[in-house]
Amino acid sequence: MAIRGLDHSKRFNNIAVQLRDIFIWIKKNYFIPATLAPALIILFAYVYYPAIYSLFLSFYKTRLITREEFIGFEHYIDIVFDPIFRRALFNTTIYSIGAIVGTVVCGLGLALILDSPLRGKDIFRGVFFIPYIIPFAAHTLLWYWLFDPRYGLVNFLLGFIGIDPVPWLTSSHWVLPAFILMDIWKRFGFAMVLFLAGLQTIPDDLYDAATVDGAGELNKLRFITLPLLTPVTLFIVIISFLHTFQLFIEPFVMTKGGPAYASISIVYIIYQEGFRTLNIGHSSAIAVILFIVIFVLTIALVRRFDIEQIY
Amino acid sequence: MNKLFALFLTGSLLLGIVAGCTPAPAPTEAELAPAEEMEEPMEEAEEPMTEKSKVVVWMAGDDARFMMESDIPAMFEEANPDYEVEIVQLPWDALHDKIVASFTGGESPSVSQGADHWVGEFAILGGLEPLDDFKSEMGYQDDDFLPNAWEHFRYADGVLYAAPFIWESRLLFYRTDLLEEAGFEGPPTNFEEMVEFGKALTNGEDQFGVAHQESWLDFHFFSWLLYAVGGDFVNEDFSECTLTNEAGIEAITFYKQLYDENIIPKDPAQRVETFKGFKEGYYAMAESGAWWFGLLGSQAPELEGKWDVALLPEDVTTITYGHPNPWVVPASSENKEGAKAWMAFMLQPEIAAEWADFYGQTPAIKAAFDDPKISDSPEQQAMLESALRGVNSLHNVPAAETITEVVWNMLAEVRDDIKEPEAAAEDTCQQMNDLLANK
Repeated sequence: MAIRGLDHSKRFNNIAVQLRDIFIWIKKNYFIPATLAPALIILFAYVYYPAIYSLFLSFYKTRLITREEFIGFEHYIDIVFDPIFRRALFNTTIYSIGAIVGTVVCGLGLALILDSPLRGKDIFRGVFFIPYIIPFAAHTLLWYWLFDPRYGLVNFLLGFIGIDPVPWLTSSHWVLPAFILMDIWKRFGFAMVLFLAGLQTIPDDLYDAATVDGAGELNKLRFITLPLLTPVTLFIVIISFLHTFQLFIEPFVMTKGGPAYASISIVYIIYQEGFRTLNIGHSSAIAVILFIVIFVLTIALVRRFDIEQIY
Repeated sequence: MNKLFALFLTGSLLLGIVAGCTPAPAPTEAELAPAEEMEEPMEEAEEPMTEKSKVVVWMAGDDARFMMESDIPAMFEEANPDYEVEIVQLPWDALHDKIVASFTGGESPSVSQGADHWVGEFAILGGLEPLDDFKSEMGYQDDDFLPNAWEHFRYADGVLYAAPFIWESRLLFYRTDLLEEAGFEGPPTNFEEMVEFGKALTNGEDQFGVAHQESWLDFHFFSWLLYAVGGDFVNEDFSECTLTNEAGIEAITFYKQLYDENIIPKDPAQRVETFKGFKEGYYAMAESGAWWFGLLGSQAPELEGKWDVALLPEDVTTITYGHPNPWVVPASSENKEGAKAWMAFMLQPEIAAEWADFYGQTPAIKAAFDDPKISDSPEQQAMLESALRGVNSLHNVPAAETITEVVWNMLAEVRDDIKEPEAAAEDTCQQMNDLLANK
């Protein structure tokens, strides 16, 4: 009996060891995939799969999301020769450049001012950041009324300094500057906060040494502040670039791409082709082109700001 | 703790996978039995039907809100005790996109409100239930409705894809006080007079003869000019753009003339929001629709007695922009009978009159105009008169929304001197023909 009891105990111990080994094996091999799985499943279902499927669709004549006929690069050729697409690419590029430059300059300028000893600067920081947290749709509708040529606040204020009413949204010459102004107003607070954080990381020793060497404020800015803010600047430029190249809400809500295509953007065409003309294949091809443009330009931007070389 | 957590997660995941891969349980013997054998026990088990069949109605913007606030859904349920109705409110843009998405993704409404120009593109996609049988079963006669109320929705394949809900027409809203000041006793009745009145009512600074319109409202404004000079956007079989013909060029040129002579502000900085401009006397005349009656009543009560409406000035024809707006039944609707019951209910003259009285939208059925609720309404009678003179709109074409945008961009190019009318029409027709060919 005693021997049989020993057998049981041995067998139990063996099972326990085996179970422990299984747990260790599972932990080693499956813990990370298991914890990542929910996020990956959602990403695959809602991002990767639609993106890959839209790449397929771009080579097909479609009926809604059903592939009807393989047409190779026909959509891409049509798009390249389409004057409306070229206009949209031009508009989007101008808007992107204007908005990025404006956001960086205004954000940096304000950060420099607010980094100095100034009474009530915390309040200013909060006030300047508020536009960034306003929802896009509300922001767009707000500016729609601010830009009204006769009843809008912007022209009313310009009138005080003797400037005639500007046809912000009703003129093909002014609509893009209006959008750029709106974007700068919305995002400069965000840039300011990031620049302020960047300024905190610059050691005071560098400024002290430069002062001893006789450098003026302008030279300190040029040779110390700006180079050492390069990583922050790169981050802001790339984030702004990704955002501005997807210009959509402003033309969709305010101008429907007009007047005379002056505010039409690439994403607006994607929407129009996809949900208005219901030409999903064509729309997908434009989306693929937009992806390539953004990808290539982002790589170019990263290379342009060669951080290691600066340090 | 970590071990336990890892075990739990791994176990959950594996269970999920196993559950997903597990085949459905084998059918029981009873489930495999032929239908005939099942009949008897089913009949025995059947209980009196207590659950009502739900009719899901998608509607847009304020139309949905007013429908919810009206007594009409309750009246429908009272008249049709087997049904309950659910009104779903969506913005106009979202309504279009949701209907399209429902063609592939399911989740269709039983019936939906729509815009007339959507019917063609939905029909091409095969997304709509044909309604010829509904029309004939209900015994609806074309003569009982405003002109073309049903045929407007008959697509090129000869099938009827929608039923009329309400009528959209345009009228000339004018400021009687401003016209009187300028020495005019009544509104202009033709294009020549419109130019004459417009010049007299414009001072180029804080008053203009005719209101500027933006985007799709500008498209409607131009549609009126085009139909009045005898033109159209497309040929008879909806296959080719006709803006480059004589009437098309004449309409575009006339549109440009209104801007060039500053009857409508030529300077973009002087173009203000249409209703606000009319309310403040900045614009003396404006082309608009029935919704302005409500706006003028609620937002400009001080103007009472200072404005009136008239039929739009005519040229070689009396045709203006206008159309019926439809009910559509998605082919994937799960309650087509309920949808038909709802449409039939809404097409009753007394219900159409109730809706017109409550919300102001114009009925598509003639008998509603004799209903005491609206028979004395000058606004509704003016809309009726406008409808009877003849209307038209861009319809039964693919990509009508995009064509609308192409046209209003052309109008901007012309009025802002970016292109001459002929060149603008040529470019626009090129784009339109691609869209009409569904390229």
